[in-house]
Amino acid sequence: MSRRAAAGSSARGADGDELIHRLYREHALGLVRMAVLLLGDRASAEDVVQDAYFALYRALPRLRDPEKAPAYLRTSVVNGARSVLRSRQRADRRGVPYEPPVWSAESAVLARQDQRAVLAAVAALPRRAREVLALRYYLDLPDTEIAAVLGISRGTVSSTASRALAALGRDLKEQL
Amino acid sequence: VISTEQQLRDAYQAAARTVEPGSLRGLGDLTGGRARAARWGWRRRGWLGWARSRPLAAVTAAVAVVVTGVTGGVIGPRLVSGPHHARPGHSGRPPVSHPAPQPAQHPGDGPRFFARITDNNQQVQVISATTGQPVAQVPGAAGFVEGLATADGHTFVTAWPVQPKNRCAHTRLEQFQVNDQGQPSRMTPYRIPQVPGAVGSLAVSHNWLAYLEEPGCPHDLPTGPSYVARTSLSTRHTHRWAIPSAYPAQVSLSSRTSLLETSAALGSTGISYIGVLPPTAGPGPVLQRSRILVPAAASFGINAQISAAVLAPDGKTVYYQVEQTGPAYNGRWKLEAVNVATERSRRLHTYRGFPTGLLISPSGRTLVMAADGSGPASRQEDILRYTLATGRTGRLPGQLAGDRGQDWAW
Repeated sequence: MSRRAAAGSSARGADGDELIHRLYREHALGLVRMAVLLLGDRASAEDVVQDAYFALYRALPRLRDPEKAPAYLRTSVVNGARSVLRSRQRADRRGVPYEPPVWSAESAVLARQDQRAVLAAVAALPRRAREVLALRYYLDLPDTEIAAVLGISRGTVSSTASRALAALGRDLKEQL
Repeated sequence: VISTEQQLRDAYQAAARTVEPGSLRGLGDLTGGRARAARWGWRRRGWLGWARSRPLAAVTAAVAVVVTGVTGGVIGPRLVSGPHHARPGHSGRPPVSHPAPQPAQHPGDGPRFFARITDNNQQVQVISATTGQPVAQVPGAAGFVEGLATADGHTFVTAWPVQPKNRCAHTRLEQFQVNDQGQPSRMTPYRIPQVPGAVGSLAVSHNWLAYLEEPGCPHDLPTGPSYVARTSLSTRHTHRWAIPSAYPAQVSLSSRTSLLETSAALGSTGISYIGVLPPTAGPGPVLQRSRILVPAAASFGINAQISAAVLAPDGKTVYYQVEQTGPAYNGRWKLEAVNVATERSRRLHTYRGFPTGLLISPSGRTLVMAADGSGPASRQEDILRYTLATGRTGRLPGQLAGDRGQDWAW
């Protein structure tokens, strides 16, 4: 281990390990579920969440306020999901398959067709709209926190959400 | 009547419940290899799943044949006719390898450090060109960084897309310098502080800035076409050439000439090419104005794809990575060089694994490549080095962690 890495590890210490494991017990399920909504499949979702915790562990020496750790993790998961989606574009080029999304008929995880239709319509929205909807209607975060997670203004959150809902409503009405 | 919002909440809850409490895999030991093994575990399953599903590829192949035939007729015969591919001095099987790590030793050519986008496009790292290990993080990075380029290996330009409310995106350009010890300066605005659209790929030379300009508009605003753009650093005048799809294309510039290289793998069209745009190229579609050097399908087969390409500083050669995709995938990729004047390609080496990036030193004597030897969905990349004068190739001791195929610059 390099001197630099050793110093970082020492700064984290046993307390850091305990903090990360506690945060994992408290928040991992919710984060994996949110990542499933963004990515569609559980394997990728779990991987993104593991990466987020690993990143938090590395960042512990710089984390002044442990209360902000859950927000850090949410942002990490959203960014990790974006990264996975970009990787999938490259994987598509190689013909590498990935798990079908939970809302696909192929995966047969969701029993109700109407719920599959809603999630499929959400999947057709632009990336930012999907992120805003998941944070607002699954995690029930206020717009100010969504803005902090996504790095955009509160007004943009609000307008993105309303446009996304309108598009979603139109799409679902057309399907009926 | 159930509102859209309520439908959405119900659907989200139903999808979320597919992940049951207590069914998550453990976090493991954060400091050791066990955590990494757990984190990469599913990717190995993905790799095996891919191998098992190869029979599906036959269907993909049939579709690819049809699509390539159709698009070849539409976009132009240059992409599918007359392979200009030669193998001077080539006989029998080419060398195939995925080199073992070499002792840390600076190649003796080029800057001692390169920079790479990391941490889900949140940070820029300085990495030793000797060991492949990160040595510093660029301070002052804030936002989502999409492009990284350098003309001399010391001053690096970064692209940060910005999307104001209800408006299409523009991109902020910032720069930082790396000193001889690998320590970066803070980000400061670049001499051209912003460009329109979202930048997909970025290149700089001493006289020019080139980038792939994607519209990046909110979904309810009209979306324009994508362009390859080249801006003169002295006059600030920009030329644009329309590109049929921005996915996934890249640009590189020659530092000593005004030649602009573009390459693209146009997604589902199955078309992949390398072309050069001379300084005098008039406006229009990039494929019509470019001189196509490597039509991948015609030169290497319909499933071939250019993964990365880079124009040599003297503008005489384009080096590129090519691989077979889909049903033709064979776990190998080739490093090739095409002569810009004669349009003839020659193979430099064949490697095992997956290519994910290619750089050339400012002197034009050494190539550095990112490649993955462990599977298509792995997130660890090896750093390979190829010395053009001797044909020697080796692997740096360090690896690139994180998202594959991120922008880097040397």
